[in-house]
Amino acid sequence: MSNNIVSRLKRKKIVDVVATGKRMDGRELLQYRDLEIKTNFLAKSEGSAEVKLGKTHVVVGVKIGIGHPFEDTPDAGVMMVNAEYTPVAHPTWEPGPPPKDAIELARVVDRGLRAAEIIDMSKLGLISGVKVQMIFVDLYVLNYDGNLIDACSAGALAALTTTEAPEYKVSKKGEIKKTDKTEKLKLRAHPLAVTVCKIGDSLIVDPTYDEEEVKDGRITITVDENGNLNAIQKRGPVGFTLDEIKKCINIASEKSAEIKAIALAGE
Amino acid sequence: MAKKHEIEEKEVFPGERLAVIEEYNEGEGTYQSDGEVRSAEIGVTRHDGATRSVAVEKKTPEITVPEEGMVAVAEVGSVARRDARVNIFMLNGRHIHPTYSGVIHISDISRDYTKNIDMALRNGDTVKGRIVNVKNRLNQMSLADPEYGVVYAYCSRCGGLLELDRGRLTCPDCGRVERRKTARSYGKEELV
Amino acid sequence: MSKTTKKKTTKRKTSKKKWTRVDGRKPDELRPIHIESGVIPNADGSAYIEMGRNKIIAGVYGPREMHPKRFSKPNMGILRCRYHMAPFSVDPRRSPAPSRRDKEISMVMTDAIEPALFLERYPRSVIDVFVEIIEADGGTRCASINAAAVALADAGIPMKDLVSSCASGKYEGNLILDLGDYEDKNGESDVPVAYLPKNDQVTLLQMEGIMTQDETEKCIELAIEGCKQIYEIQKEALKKKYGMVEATEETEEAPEEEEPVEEAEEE
Repeated sequence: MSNNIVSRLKRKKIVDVVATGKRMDGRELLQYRDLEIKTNFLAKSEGSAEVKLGKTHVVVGVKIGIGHPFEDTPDAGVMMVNAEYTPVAHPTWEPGPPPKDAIELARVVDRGLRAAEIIDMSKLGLISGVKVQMIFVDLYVLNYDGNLIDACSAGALAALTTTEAPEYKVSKKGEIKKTDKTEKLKLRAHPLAVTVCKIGDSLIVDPTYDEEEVKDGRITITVDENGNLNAIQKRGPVGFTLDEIKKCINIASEKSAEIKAIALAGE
Repeated sequence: MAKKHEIEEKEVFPGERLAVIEEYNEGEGTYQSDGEVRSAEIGVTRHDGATRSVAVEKKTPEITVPEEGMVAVAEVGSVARRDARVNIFMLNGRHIHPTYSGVIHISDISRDYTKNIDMALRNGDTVKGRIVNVKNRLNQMSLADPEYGVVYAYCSRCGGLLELDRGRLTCPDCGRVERRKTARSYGKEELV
Repeated sequence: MSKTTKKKTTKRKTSKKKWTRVDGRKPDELRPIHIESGVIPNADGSAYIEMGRNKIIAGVYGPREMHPKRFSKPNMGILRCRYHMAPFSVDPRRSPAPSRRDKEISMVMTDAIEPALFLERYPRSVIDVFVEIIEADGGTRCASINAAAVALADAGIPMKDLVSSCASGKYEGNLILDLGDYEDKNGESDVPVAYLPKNDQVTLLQMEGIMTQDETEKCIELAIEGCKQIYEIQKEALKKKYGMVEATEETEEAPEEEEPVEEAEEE
């Protein structure tokens, strides 16, 4: 982490540039970096996506397995989203249990997918109260240069869209067998997260690491293809006016449509 | 001019044998093992007839570890009577993480005699200096040059960033005036 | 050649003709290997390797000051390797927490690489090598060492040698090179080896299975031959990154200005 004086100077520099309507890397305030998504590149995962958003690099793996249902939903499958901050990704990241930010990342991405009811979990039961299908979505960060939520959200959607789910058969004896047959996972919605950062009096999208470091706050809004909102997460020790929030929502609707074309290209 | 050898310079990889020690001595980017000079780098050989040595000019980036002569920027930690502990966060213009620990001895603060270290440095200041020694367990920095010294400092009363106003370090918030051994680039040093 | 030996060879020949490896390779044939260096912009050095279906990324940070300081050595630097598998790298999904296996491999990897470094030059410092297995396909520790060595060289860290690594083993009575996942799991034995090609030193040696003394020795020799081939591939990856031409007899000075800075931009 940068020390006091470096953050201070960095913030001044970035705030000054952003105030002129530009970014340090020459982008417009509401312009994403180049987004590249490659799907289905891992043979051992049912679904996968590699996301490059500028220098931010994330791999998403979707694994389907068998596990126990939650007590209150004995016939519903279980989806878990987990994020790993690998120590290769940034000089300040260390090996060990996920830091708070990684947990937030996983939870915000998870909330967007879950709230949109992207997968019909009731179809994933196997033996009532005993066995159900589990869907694991692992977000694996390999290089960190800001805006992990949007990158991971797009990656998770791209990976799930191209997931080939195995077909399971339950015998009369109650044995579960994985057949050779697979079927494309049916998605009922296509939610995508867009994070809007507030720096000084300006709103920007797709912050780099430096911009994230000096930002005042951020609002992440997950929007589906019909323009419905699925999740919101506000962070940072500042307030947003209602007018700013409305602007953020508009930006998110517009930008999620842009990202969707890339995230769903592998479909 | 030294006698030009008819040796072709070539691209080499670590471990490649360059010469036996009877022919050439080990130069920069090489090492000696069992009487043989080998490359320690990915680079191009440089035979020097004058010194009878072979070096390898590396093609890969230089690593950033404190070495004598490097310019360092550091944050001042605790200040004692005779020295100050610092955390070096920039070496030759490159940010490093984590910081390297360093020390500034009272005799390295200025070319002149420094009687009281408190009049030159305070905890939390940012200093620019030169690495003068890396052997004594700590990276020793010197500020003894007009180029070097404090580049940013905080007001010890209110925490404001002190500004250089007609040669005096003044707090823009509370008006307090403080003393430091400032560098020529005080308040203007590019750190980002 | 005497008659008896001739008979023997013909006998063997007929049996050998029928025997092929599961993936159709010759006994002493490596899997396809692809190495790319400089894939993690934040790291000081990095490399990506595909060895068969293994997909592995290695990043190097350092030398940098060792924290916590009580683990540092006053007279030399420390090499710290961390081998870690992504949850989706294997089937079924595994927990992201490091396993006992991960920890042991991290240690033997460190021992395999350390002889190639000049750690005495970096007192109180650490060189971190982080390896992430994105997809595992047998022989991950060897592939990891190959990637790590390229990443260390890419970081500009002086080295006594590169480190090349490859396993050999016995499968259905035949000595084979570079075991794939299936051969690894179903074969009689497995011998991972790492080797300093220019110093002729073996720096990783493990063995598991049942083999005669003679077979074991032959296996090590076979693995060393594999390492020598891998060494050439590692060099190619680094030559590509650093704009080096093939070192033929009439080497001309390549224009040197264009290299390191530009590479970072390409990501």
